[in-house]
Order: sequence, then C-alpha cells, then structure tokens
Amino acid sequence: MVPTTNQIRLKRDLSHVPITALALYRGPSGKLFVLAGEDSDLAVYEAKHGEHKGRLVSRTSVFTDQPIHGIHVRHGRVLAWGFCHIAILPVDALTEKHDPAPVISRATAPDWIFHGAFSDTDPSAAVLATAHNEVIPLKYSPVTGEIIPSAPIAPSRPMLYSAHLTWISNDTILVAGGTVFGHVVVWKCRLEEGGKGVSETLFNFEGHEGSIFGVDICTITLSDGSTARILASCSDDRTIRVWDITERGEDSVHSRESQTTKVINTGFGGNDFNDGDSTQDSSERSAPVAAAMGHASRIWGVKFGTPCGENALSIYSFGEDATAQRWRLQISHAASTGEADLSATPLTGKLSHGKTFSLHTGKHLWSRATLLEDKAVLVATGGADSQICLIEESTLLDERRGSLDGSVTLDTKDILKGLIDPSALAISAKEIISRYDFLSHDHILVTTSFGRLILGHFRDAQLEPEWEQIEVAEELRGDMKLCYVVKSIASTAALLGTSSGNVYHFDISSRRTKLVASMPGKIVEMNCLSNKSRDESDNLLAEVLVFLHGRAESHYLAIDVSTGDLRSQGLAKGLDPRFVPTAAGKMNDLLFIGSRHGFLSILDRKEDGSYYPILDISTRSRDAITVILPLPPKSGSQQASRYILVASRDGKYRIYELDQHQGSTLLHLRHETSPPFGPLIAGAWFTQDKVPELVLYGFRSKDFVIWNETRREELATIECGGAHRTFQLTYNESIPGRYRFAYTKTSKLSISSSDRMAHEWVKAGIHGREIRSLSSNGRFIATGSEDTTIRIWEYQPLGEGTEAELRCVASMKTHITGLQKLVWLGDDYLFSSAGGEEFFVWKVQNLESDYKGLAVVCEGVFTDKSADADLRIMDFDVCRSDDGCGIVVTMGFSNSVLGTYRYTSEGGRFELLAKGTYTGACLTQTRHLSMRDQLPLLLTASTDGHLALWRSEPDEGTQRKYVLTQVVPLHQNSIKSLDMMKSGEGYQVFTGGDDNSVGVTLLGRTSGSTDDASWTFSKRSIVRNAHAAAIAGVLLVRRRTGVVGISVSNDQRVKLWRIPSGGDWNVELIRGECIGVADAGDIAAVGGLEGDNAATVVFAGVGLEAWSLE
Amino acid sequence: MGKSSKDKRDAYYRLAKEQGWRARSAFKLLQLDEEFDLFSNVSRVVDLCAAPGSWSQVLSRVLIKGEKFGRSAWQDRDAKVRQQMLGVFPEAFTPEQKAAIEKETSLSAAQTGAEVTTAAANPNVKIVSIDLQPISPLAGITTLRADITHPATVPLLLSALDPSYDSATAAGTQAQHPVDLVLSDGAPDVTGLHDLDIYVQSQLLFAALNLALCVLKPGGKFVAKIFRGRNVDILYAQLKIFFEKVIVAKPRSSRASSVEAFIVCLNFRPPAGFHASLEEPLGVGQRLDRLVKERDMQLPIVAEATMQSSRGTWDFSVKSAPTTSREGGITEMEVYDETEGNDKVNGSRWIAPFIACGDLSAFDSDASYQLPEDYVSLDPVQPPIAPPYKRALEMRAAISKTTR
Repeated sequence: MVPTTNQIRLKRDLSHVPITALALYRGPSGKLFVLAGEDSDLAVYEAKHGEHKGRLVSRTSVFTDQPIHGIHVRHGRVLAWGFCHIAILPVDALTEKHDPAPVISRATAPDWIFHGAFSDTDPSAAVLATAHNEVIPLKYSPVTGEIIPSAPIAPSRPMLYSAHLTWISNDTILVAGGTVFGHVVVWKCRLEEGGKGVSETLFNFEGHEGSIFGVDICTITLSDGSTARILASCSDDRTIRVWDITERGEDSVHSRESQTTKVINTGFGGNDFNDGDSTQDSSERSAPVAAAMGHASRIWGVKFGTPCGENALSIYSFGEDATAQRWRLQISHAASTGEADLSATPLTGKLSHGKTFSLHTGKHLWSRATLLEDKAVLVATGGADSQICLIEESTLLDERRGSLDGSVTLDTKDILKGLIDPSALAISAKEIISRYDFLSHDHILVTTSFGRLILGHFRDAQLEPEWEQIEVAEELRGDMKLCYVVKSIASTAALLGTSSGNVYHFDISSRRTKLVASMPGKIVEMNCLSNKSRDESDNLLAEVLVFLHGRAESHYLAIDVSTGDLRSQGLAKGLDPRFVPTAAGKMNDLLFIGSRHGFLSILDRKEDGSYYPILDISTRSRDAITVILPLPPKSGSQQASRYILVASRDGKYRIYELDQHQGSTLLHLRHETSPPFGPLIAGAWFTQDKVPELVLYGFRSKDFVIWNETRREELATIECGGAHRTFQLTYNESIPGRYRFAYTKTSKLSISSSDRMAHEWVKAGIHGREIRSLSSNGRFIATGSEDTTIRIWEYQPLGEGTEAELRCVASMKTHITGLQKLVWLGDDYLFSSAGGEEFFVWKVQNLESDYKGLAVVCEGVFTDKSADADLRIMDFDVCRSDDGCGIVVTMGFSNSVLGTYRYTSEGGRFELLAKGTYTGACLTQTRHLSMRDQLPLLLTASTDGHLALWRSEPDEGTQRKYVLTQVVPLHQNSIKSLDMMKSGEGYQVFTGGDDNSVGVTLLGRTSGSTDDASWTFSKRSIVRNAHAAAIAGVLLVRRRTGVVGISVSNDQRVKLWRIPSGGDWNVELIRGECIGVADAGDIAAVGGLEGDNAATVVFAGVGLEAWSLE
Repeated sequence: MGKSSKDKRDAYYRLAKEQGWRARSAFKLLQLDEEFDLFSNVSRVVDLCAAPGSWSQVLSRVLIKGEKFGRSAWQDRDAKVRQQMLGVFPEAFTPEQKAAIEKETSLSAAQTGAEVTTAAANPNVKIVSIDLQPISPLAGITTLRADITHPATVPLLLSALDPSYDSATAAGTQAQHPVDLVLSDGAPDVTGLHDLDIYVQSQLLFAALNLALCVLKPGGKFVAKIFRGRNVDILYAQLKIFFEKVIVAKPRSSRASSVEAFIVCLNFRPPAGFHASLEEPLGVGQRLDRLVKERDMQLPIVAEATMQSSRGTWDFSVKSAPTTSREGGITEMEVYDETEGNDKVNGSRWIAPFIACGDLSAFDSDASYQLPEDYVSLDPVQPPIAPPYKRALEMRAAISKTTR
C-alpha cells in the first residue's frame, strides 16, 4: 500500500500541563503515591526521597476533553471528577506498574462537581457536592462497575466556588459551600432509602468580601476533652477565616432563620474583619473564631493539618501567588468563663503565620492534598507550572525541641550558663556573641565580645550544641576581644583574624590557638582559596587571602592545616589604590580578586613570591563582587579549567572564560543571569554529582535562600530578617538539604539545622505563566513566557524504558514585559522581542566543563526606540546578510510600522536600513522572502486579516523605505499565526486566524527578469470553521507524501491538514486530537521537519506538550 | 499602566472617554448593531449584567433619545487615508466613497468626535437593566439590582417589564408583553483555571438565556458574551435549539488577544412544546443535551457516520469540497467533519459561523496609536468598580506606611 499523508499519527510523549487535582495515598507496602490530575489523565508518581527519576508509575486517560478537578481515594478505589464527569477505578491498578489498563466506571452528574467522598463504612456509597450547593448520592456496584447517581438534594441553590463534604455518620453528610458572593453555607444532608435525602441548614456565615475559593472541615478534641467542629474558608479578599460549626443544641433556631430564601440583591457585604481579633464583633453568632490576612493575591485553597500543641492546630493555605503557607490556629478555649455552659460558648482564637513555602514558579497553586500520619503531615502542591511538590512536616509534633523548623535561638547567657560557675561570676549583659564559623556539620567555633572562645559540638538530633570553652593563653585574651573574622579552613581547623592585624590558628584536636602571622592593618575578611570540603585527607595546606581595611593590597598565606605553620606568604599588589577587595578565588595558580565597585583583577605570581595584576576588567556590575568560584574542569580533558563564576551584589552571576595565549590574558563573558532571589548572592558551590550542579545562596528580602540553579529548585528558605547581619553556612556537596545556617539577630545567635530536604519535587515544572513563543534549532527549544523569562531546554525523546524529558539548561530574566517572539539563528544566536520595544540578541554557547549549564549572554540590546518606548514588537524575522556583514533583522511593531536593521555582534549595534508603514492595523506576522539590494522582500500579516508583500525603494540618504507591492484579504480578522515553506519556485503559506479559519496561500515569482524577481499571491484558499476558536499556532512539516499543516487552537484541538502544492488544490483534514494545553500560543518542531523520520512537535501555551508525528 | 499610555495602547478606551461612554464596551455593541442591525424594530429590551451600564447607555441614546451612531464614531481617519494612499484596498472604495473620505479627512481634529444625528424619540421604548452592582441612573431606563442566576429575579424582571404583572396571580413565568431583544455582557472575574472560567461564564450565559426564554417574543434576538475556549462548540449546538441563526461575532473593538466573543442569536423559535421552567433551569442537568439530540434526530441524515476511536478522535480523513465561491479571489473550502458532531461523552458539537464586525477602517484594538503632543488624557466617565480585595490593598498600604 502506498503510504499517504492520511496515515500520519500523533502520539503524546510528554506533558507539562497545570496540575488540577492531587491526592496522596499510602499503599499497603508502605509506599507513598501521589495521584495527579494532568488534563484528562490521572498520573501516579511514587514519592522517593532524593531520587529524581523513575517516579512515574502509571498514566491513565480517565476523561475525554475534560481535565480532572478532584481525586479521592478510599476503600482501595479512586473517585475522580472533572466538570460533571465522574470515574471510579481501582487504586492498585494504578500503583502497580505491570497491571493491564484499569477498568474505569464512568457516569455523569447534572452539574459541575467541587468535591466527592466515599462513605467511611460503605464502599458502594459516595456523595458529590456540586456548584449549586447540591449533594448527589451515588451508588456504585463493584461487580458490574455501574455508577447510579440519585437526584440532587439541596436546601438552597446559590452558586458556589468551592465545597467540602464530610461523612459524620453512616447516613449523614456535613456540607460546606463557599459562594460566589462571599457567604459560607453549612448544612447537613441525611440520606434515606431510595437515594432521597433531607437537608437541614446549620449556618450561613457572612463576612468575607469576595468569592470563597476554598473550604475545609475538621473535628478537634479540646483540652477539656470536649470536641468541636471547625471550618476554614479562604477568599478573593486575601483572608483566611476559621468558623465554629459545632452543633450546640440550639441550632433549630438558627436553621429556621437561614432557610428562608432571600433574594441576594447585593454584591459583597459584611465588614466584620478585624485582623485576627474578632471577639468584639456585634453579631457574635456569625463571627469567625479567627481570621488572618495572607498571600499576595487570591487564596485558592485551605486545608487543616494536625494538632500542634494544646488547643492548637496547623492550617495550610494555597494561593494564586504560588505559595503554600502554614498557619497556627490557637483556640483560646473559654475555660475562664466557668464550666457551666462551656459547651455552649462559641470558640475564639487566633491565627498566626508560621512559614511560607515558595516552591513553585509563576502563579496559581491549583491543587493540593494532605495526608495526616502519626509522625508527619504530608502536604502536596500542584501548580500551573506543572510542578508537583511534596512537603514533609515531620517536626511539627516535636514539642521537645520547642521549634517548628529545626532552629534554635540563643543568647550569651544560654551558651555560658553551663560553662562557668554562676556563683563566681555573674554573666555580664554586655558580653555578646561576636563572630563564628562552622568547622563542619558537627562543630561551630564562636567568639564573644569579652574574648571568650567557645566550641559548640552538635550531637545526634539535638538542635543546640554542647558548648565547651576553649582555654586561651593569658597573653592572647586581649587580642581575642578584637577578633573580627572567624574562618574555617578545614573540618579540624579555623583561622581567627583580629582588628589588630593578627591571624591565629585554632586546631580542634589540641584545642590550641596559636599566632600564625601579623598584618600591617585591620583584618576585615579572610578568603579561603582552597576548597575546604574536598580532598579532606590530602588537603594539608590551606590557602588564604587576607583583606585589610583601607588597603588595596591583600596578603596571601599558605598555612599547614594541622600545625598552623606558615608555609608561604606573599602580597597581592600593584592594584589601583581605590580598589577595595571584597572577594577572591584561585584558578590555575592565578588569583582572581573582585572589588566593591565591580572590578575584577587577575594576578599572577612573580619570582618575588608576590602577585601582580595581569588583567583588570570592569564587569557589567557596579556593585560589590561577592563570590569568585572556578567551574569544575571537563573530566578526561588535559586542559586546565577555563571558566570562573563571579557573583555580584547586582543580583547576577556571570561566567567568564579565561583566554591565555602568547602571553596575553583575556576574559570573555560567556554567561550572565540572575537567580530568582537576591540581589545579594552570598555564595555558591558545585555539587559532587557526576554532572555537577550549581547551587547558589543568598537573601531574598527577609529570607535566606539556598537555590539549586541547575534544577531551578529552592532547597531551603530560612526567615532570618534579611541580609544585613553576621551569618555563616555549612553545607554538604553530596547531600542536598543537609546544612546548618547560623545568623545573628538582635544580638542573639540562631542556628537552623537540616539533615535532609524537607520537601521534594515529584514532578519538575516549567514556566508558571502562559508560554507565548517557541523556537527550536534542532538541539534546543527556547520558550518565552508571559512571566517575562526565556528558558532554553534540551528535549530527551522517549526511549527504551525512559520517559521523554525536558531539561532546562538556561533561564534568562532580562525582559520586563511578557515575551512576544523568539527566533533561533543557527545554534548560537537567539533573538527575543517583547512589549516596551524590548529586543535582545542572545549568544548561546556550550561550556567545556563537566557543569552542563548552557552559557547565555545578552550580546545586543535594541535601542532605536520610539519616544515613549511603549510599542510591542509583535514579530520579527532574521537572516544572515548576503554580504556576510552581520545579521538582518526585520521587526513588525504594534503601531503598524516595519523596520529592518543590520545587527553586528561587534559592540552589539543595530543600524537602521529601511522603514515602512502599514495602514494603522497592528502587524502580527513579519517574514523575509528573498533578498534584493541587501534588503529582504517582505511578507506581513496583520489584525485586519490581510496578507501584504513589500519591496524597498530608495529614500532620503542611505536609507530605504518599504512600499507595498500587493495586499490581499484572507482572514476576517487578526492573523494570529503563520508558517511558510519553500515549494518549488514559490512558497506555501499556512495561516491561522482569530476567525477560526486556516488559510493556505501560494506565493509565486512574478514573471520577468530574475534579477528583479518579486513575489505575488498566486492562489488563496480558506477553511472556515477549521476550529471552534481562535488559531494561535500553525506549522508546516514536509513528509515524503506531501506537506502537512498542523494547527492548534484555543478549543484545545490539534488538527492535521494536507496542504496542496498545486494541482487539485484541496485542503484535507487528516486528523484531530485533543490536547491539554489551553490558550496555545505556538508550535515548534524538534528536528525531522523534512522527510519521514519521526518528528517531535511541541505545543505550548498554558503548559507544554510534545507529540511525535509518525 | 497609566491613563495616558493606556490611551495609546487602547484606542477604544480613549474614544469611550472622548465620546462620553461609561466603558469601551459600548463600541462592541455599536459594532454588533452595525453588522446585525440589532436595534431595528426594537422597542423593548432587557440588558443583563449591565454595570457599569455602557450597553444600557447605548440603548438609552439610540432607542430613547433616537441618536444614530455611524461608523464615524470609531473610524480611524488616518488609517483610511493611508489605506487609500497605499492603494491597499482599492476594491473597497468607489470614486464617490473616495470623495467622501477626502471630505471626512479634511475635517479638523476638533471635529473628530462622534457624528451623532438625532431622530424623534420613541415613546414606546421599555428598557430594563439588571446587575448585581449598582448602575448610575440612565434616562428612561429601569435599573434593577439583582442576581440573574437567582430564580427570584424572574418575577422581579417581569414586573419591571409589565407593571401590571402580579407574581401571586400570574400563571407562569412567561412575559405577557414580551421583549424584542435580550443582551448580556456579563463575565465573571476570571480565575485563570480555564475550564472553570468557561463553566462560570456558561452559567451566566444560561442564566441570561433562561431569562430570555421567559421574556423574549418569537422572532426576538439574544446577544451574549461567550468565551471561545474548549468545548464552546457544545454551547453553540445548544443555543441553536432556540434560534434560527446562531453566529459568533467578534467586533473590532474586542481584542484579538482576548477569548471574548459575542454570540448573536437571531429569530427566536423555541422547540414545539418547550416551556421555560425554573424548576429545571438550563445549564445544569442533561435537558439541553437531550433537546440537541432530539433536534438532531429530526434532521435529515447528510453523511454516513464514520468510525470514531474511543478517545473521541477520528481516524479517517475528511475531504474538502471546494465550493465555487471565490469572493475576492479566495477559494472557500468546506471541510465536512460530521464525526465532530457526535461526541457521546460531552454532548453534540456544532461550530457556529464566525463574523468579524466593524469595518476595516475601524480603530484596531490591538494596535498602538500616536497621539498629538498636546493631547490631554481624560478621566474615565465612571471610575472602575472597587474589587473585593480593596480592603486588603488598603491594609497593606497602611502597614507599609507605619513601618516606613
């Protein structure tokens, strides 16, 4: 049989779509599973601490064209729902890898479903809660797989944005509904025989000032042994409120009042919000137990955790701001009011903020799940960024430690009380903790303002170390008071630098302190040039660079780690006297020193033992350089390391390549980006993995942050008050999440300790906002998003036993408006445009290092902007100039103007070559056709649905102007997407419009001399109603059997079309598939554009999917 | 975005202020009217989700005051000149039109306001506007503050339309003096969770349709905002039960980047035996799907059913049958895809024809415009409605002030 285009198949290989539902399930074998709704698929992952691969256990298509919005697991079965659809399937078929495809029972409810739950006792009974405050009982027969919904039961039918069900007995369900208009309704539904039911309204709470997006119910046992039922709600108004829904016997009055149907003829009402203190509210009955304001934007969900102390409970909230937050509800149970009517008194309490988990990017935590176990609360979060995180809160119950987050705060008294005889000496209040450093994970060395030297020893799981005072020789005590720097040089030794200029060596085994060297000035910083945590055994020498106050010169010392003997000494001199050294590093026997004003010098050692500058450069930063760190060399390579990482207080880190030949030394900037914290990057290291990963740490407003740049994951966040303080960190290059962080706050020492990660990434994420543009160069895929960042990815196709994978190799945040368009030119140039007339040229290179991050640097910035620089660069095209001189870039602006520039990489300059103006309509597409007179002939499309052809003519001076050669109508309104492909002498042009249509246009050469060739529209055709919504992405792919057009629309369909090249001129629909990407913005092919090799096609919008075309 | 940069980014925002409209959406209704002649022979209108009242304002000025708004209200004269100069759309202009353009474009900048002609006011006009938010009074318009999704709103509306209506004695929920046109420009505050937003929007649409079914006279018109997203074709199929013509329209004043469009339903003709019922409102339950299926049963079978895979996708290619229509040199391809019509799981589908309205010389809502240097940015006619998180913003501002 002759293959035809009709046999082309599309198969989904990779899916990164918003996580719309989550459930946690502990299997009989003790394994923990995360069940996730990814569009219409139910994906099951195994939670494996510390492992990154092989987590996906199964993926089952549950619905058609409908995302899963809820998952509930009980009695070995999964109840899943989305819109009005429900499905029941066995959980073991999902968690055991080799089972055949699970049998799915399906049914339809009459309305949108917000929650569902199986009965606690009867596995064949379940209930659903709908968007109109209805309860729908379900009967499920495990034998036949039949699901029979009964008629809805409802006391009233307000429109809801959230609902929660709890079975409170065999036949009674407690229902909470959060309405669109800010009310919380609570009612009881008693089921009777034959699927009927009786409803009784219990409460109708007013107070929220916006729609209620989440409700949760919980029963707690109070200190007096009584039980109470409480409800938490969260809203558009950025508040979380807790309500007392305990039935106390006088409810009949209440329900009668609430049951009367009132016409809700107002908007949002109520004004009882009093920032946590709500006791004085007039309407006592409906006042919340507690309320608090949190999150930067809307709060999508709220969940109860576990008890955390007497009459206290943890609560988690999940927001549009992509954070999860832990709250502590302290109920001040009315023990003081006397015991007479204790049970009749409504509860009061206070909500206080505990911790913010910002583990996702962009916006929206759409889904969440909690699992309350004996020793831990497990909290899973699913975001619009397609990421799933699992937070383990195991220390919550540990009251002995008196801390929720593994931290301890001490003042001098706390440390000294066991060390000195309290009767002999009163501890002076003036003695404060001065400087400190960790020798290792087990030891910390602390100095006090009285010259005391104290060693802390961390034992087992104790947060507070055991303290030991180090005897210091009488003659050194005075100098110890002047100690300004403590710097560990090994796990057994540290150096102490004083403002009197002395360097002392402390050895842990002998507990001895001895003088190493004296400097002619006040020591302000000591930089350890050797990596103290590697090669522990044979690292006998520690190299240190000592900075002195007010001196450009610094002192190089090489010290025997165990004896403290000075082996070698030298000066780093010859620097500009204004140079204030702030950071140093060593690579290939060269010293790198950074200054307070962003200067970087390379120094080489001369015969006299001193270092002299061989290169001085000013970095792109004018702020202090804080980190200088060599990159790991390429293993197996004979070459020495060539790259050095330099971080600055401007919030960016840069990677430079050292270029040394024939006596000249140069530094080339290869990479520049800012991590999502800062501006202070305080330090960095490379992990000891086979492929080293880059970890950076520093501060983000009041938090200290440890960030894995390679995985783009936040390893730790510690609220410490901000960057302006003394702090020290000890970390482990092999075990992520193992660290201790010490900091001084209000003269107290706080130590935060962690042995392992308290959270893990079950599924890696992508952009947290819509992807607007995609471009592939065969090797890399670049994505540009509404979140203003560009990311570059490496696509690992589906292989034998391995999942397809998208690995982020670079992330750039330089644009300040949402991206419009990205285009690769070859392997090493990427161009990007956005609003505000932002246009950047990115130079992309690989590094000859084991570190696999891609080096990306912004080489050119477009500066020829309009007066207000407020236009959007909607689209552009690039090509190499045919005279070999630079790159020709043509941009289409939102004000109907076209501009062609010559870009030269030397200096990153743009030179205007020609301009043109269309009718006033916004230009949406701009393409180069062929070159003539050093300028391209152009094809444009615009919001008026027309295609236009342009040529250039001489204008004033050396410039030229564009004139229209032909304009033809095609679509009814905006042409949102366009792709074209060479076809014989002409081009096939495939367009997608806002008018639901796809167009096929043939561009041919006009007859005439070839010198003066120009283009004309020779044929146009349109398929109306090609999709049910706007078509924002099209792509042409050549197969052996002909050209195939692919279109993707807001209707979440992908369609394949046979594109005619002439002859019969018929457009045929080959195939259609549903995709999980909403608001699709672009399509790109990863290789295989031509021929019959399997091609991978990537679709991106809200999420990203990769499909193979076979 | 500041007021003046918004003026440049959004031509209709600026025009609305210049011409005294409460919101830019007034132009959407004017452009819909231009295409579909919505207001001809119309005297009784219901405007739902009306706040801040720009559509009611259009109704008031057109139907009550008898003003007429031509294209000149939203025409970009510069664009027209440029189109003419560039010879972009030669077929679009006859010599007379060219002369007219020249005359128009010679008007001084001071006269660029809307060209308004006033005819005699119509005394029989009855307009009722409903919204949850208060609407500032408008001449001749009855405004109600109510929730259109609430059943109790129906008697409220009926008595507003017909003062003699008495809910206690009235037999049903059918208007005694039905209306000619029902409008709804309502939209929820979107969450960003696409199918939830589409669902809530469809609930507003069904609530509007429910009211329309109670008050619309046979042959009447219904216009409502719709989100063109996933499964919108199911909604189109459902609306087609009640109206002869269902068209999805996108005025030029509505941005191409927005999912918003308007469903224009003409010639109301409910299925035989259909009665609007509040006990079984549309939008929940399977009643609509049942009606669609009943209607499909009555239609002649036009194509043989083709195989459909279990995932609701289709395995056979569908050939196009190029029609002979070659409007402006474009070959129209009809691609029959009947398999799409029968989705067993989600309901029947049908793609309503699309029409872009407002002519090509209209201002482009996606384009940026240069304003004269001395242009003074105007204040909006009505300030925006306070959001529910207003208090949160105020409190945060107060906190940051005290800590400063």
